[in-house]
Amino acid sequence: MSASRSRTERLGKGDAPRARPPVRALSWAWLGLLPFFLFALAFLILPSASIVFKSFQGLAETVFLKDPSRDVVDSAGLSRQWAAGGRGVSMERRGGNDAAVNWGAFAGSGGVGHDAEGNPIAGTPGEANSIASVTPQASPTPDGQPRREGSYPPRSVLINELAWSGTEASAAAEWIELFNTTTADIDLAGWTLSDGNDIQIDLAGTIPAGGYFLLERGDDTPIADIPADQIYSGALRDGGLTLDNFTELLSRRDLMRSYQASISISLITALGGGLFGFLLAYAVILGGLPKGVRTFMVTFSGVASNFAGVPLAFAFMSTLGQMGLITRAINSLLDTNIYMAGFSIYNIWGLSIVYMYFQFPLMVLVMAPALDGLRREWREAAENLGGTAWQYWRHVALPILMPSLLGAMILLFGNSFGAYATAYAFAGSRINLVTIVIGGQITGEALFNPGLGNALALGMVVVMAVCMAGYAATQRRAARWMR
Amino acid sequence: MKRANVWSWVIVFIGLVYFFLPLVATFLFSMRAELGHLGFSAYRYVFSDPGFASNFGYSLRWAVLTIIASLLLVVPTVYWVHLRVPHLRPVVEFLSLFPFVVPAVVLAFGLIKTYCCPPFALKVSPALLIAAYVILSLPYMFRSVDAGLRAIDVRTLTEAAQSLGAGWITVLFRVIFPNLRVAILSGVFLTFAIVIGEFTFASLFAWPAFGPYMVLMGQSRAYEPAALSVVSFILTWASIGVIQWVGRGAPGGAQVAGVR
Repeated sequence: MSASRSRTERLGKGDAPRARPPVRALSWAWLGLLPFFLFALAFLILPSASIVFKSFQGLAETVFLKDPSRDVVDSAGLSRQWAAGGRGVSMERRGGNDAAVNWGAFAGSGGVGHDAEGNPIAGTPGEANSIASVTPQASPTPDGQPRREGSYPPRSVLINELAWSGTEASAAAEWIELFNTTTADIDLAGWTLSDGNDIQIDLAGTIPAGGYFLLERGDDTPIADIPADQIYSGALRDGGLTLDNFTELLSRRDLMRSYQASISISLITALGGGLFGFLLAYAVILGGLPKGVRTFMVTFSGVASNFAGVPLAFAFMSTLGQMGLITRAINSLLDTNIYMAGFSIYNIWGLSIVYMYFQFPLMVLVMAPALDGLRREWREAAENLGGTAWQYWRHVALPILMPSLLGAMILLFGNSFGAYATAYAFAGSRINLVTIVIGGQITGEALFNPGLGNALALGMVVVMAVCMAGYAATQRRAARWMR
Repeated sequence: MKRANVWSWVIVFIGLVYFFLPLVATFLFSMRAELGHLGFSAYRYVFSDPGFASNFGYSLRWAVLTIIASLLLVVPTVYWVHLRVPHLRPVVEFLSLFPFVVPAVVLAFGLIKTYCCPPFALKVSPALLIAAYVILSLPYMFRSVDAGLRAIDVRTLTEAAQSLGAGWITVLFRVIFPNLRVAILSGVFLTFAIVIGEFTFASLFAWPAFGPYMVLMGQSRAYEPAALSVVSFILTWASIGVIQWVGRGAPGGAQVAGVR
């Protein structure tokens, strides 16, 4: 091996003047990593970025169109976020129901009509939408189904176009367009259009079969050259970028408490697991134990640090739960039921004991190389200079180990901060950790504000990022002593 | 020295008790399903439950698909990094370690929000789950393969193969893969250990798997969950054991993994 390498080196030296400059090769070589980068972009960067972005996104509102019998005929913005459109550009219905995909921004070249300053409207008030490929249709009513008086089938009248951020002249110059999808004229008396806030319109007038009905805000000026069928007051909330989600997050006691619980459990297990893990690593590596013990403990730590999640939760229920081994042992030995006495493992301290099971093996694994790096000469030098064991630890060993120790504890902190499966299987929603709340948000049991959920998730990412930055910094310092 | 030795034994003893007590308790608990005496009826119940076979089958399927996808993605990438673009190694390493920064539940949240709806409605196919698992196993796969590639002379091997007329596919599958056998195996078994009992993604993406099945059991049965966790522990232990066994004398050392 070494012989062949020296030969290629000699050969390489002779070839050097003729070799192509490496820069040219490098300019396209990164393309070989394209699949990996694309994968990471799609499944790591994009979801993470969307969490960051959406946590700054404010809530818009939902507009409901109701017929005289108070049934919802159509809605716009059910997800509480405008799916399309923007300042001066209308949001057009492309057909179907009020799902984000069925809305699009006005995409024509020139719209219909002009605003108060004479700019063309980016929208089609009173006319067919710019995307004419799909004609909105009323959903068919089941045959023979008797209908209540004044009740209309869903989407017989559509909220067809919304300029929720007004015209180019003014963001307040909002307008809304309705579309009659049926083949009969509809008298709008008794119909309402409302957003649950400041918009509450009692519609009046008639919307012709296959025709449009234009509502303008405030007066007839939003679209200066097309007369409105009706004037309304109140504003459509824009959503847009805002810090509201974070102020709400900070003001929500329950959510702050979940952060508090997650952070305290991570601190407890990082300090407790870190301390005991360090002692164990020290005992095994420098404690003068037989070599077999060391090999066994390190191997076992590798396995134990993997033993997490659902099975770990069950293991501790079998140990310290109400029917657990220790609980029953204490019951039969001391004749006391510790659960009757107020003990429970289904709280932060109990969960800490569970987490500790994967925390301190991890500490052993991380600290073992650092302890191995403590050189015998350093200790001997300290002893030769008359230092006591305490002085050796205080002035030599601990300062050298400190970056590794700190780094390992930060790692442990992050390790339990992001844990979900163990906590969920162990205590369900009895312990209100951030991860549990986010899980609940996904399965739809908590927080009905998507922006708030994203802010909550972003908070976790920030804590973890700080952890990892701290870990990287300590690793750099620790590396100075590892050679 | 003598005193320190005693304390070392004490600490190791405490550690061992803490390690083994829950395992022993779980095993004993799983044997208590029969009234009055210890027996294996909880295990018999579990193994004869059709839900066990089907859910475990699903988990096996996810594990195999994840391993294939992860190998196809990671090995060529890391190989290429070593061979041609070593200056991009920090970037690739950073991306591989990213799952440590973004907790699984947060990643699941982001993935669902991104891929729930058209135009990227991936949620109906298992592709999203597999992609999530590949991300989850990325740090371990990357580190295994990276350590393996560092131990062999990638450049010489590649040039030798090419001078004998091998194309890229041949180099990769007939030269690099076989030389990385040990590293790849350790990555494969770590991935297997992670995916087989994974709960977070499977339950949040609503796919059948062993992890959610265990939780379901935990909500409805008393002794069977303990039996399941013994089975799961044996599986994890066996995977790690295989890694230790194939990795004798191989570089890399102990790896840390797990689904929390």
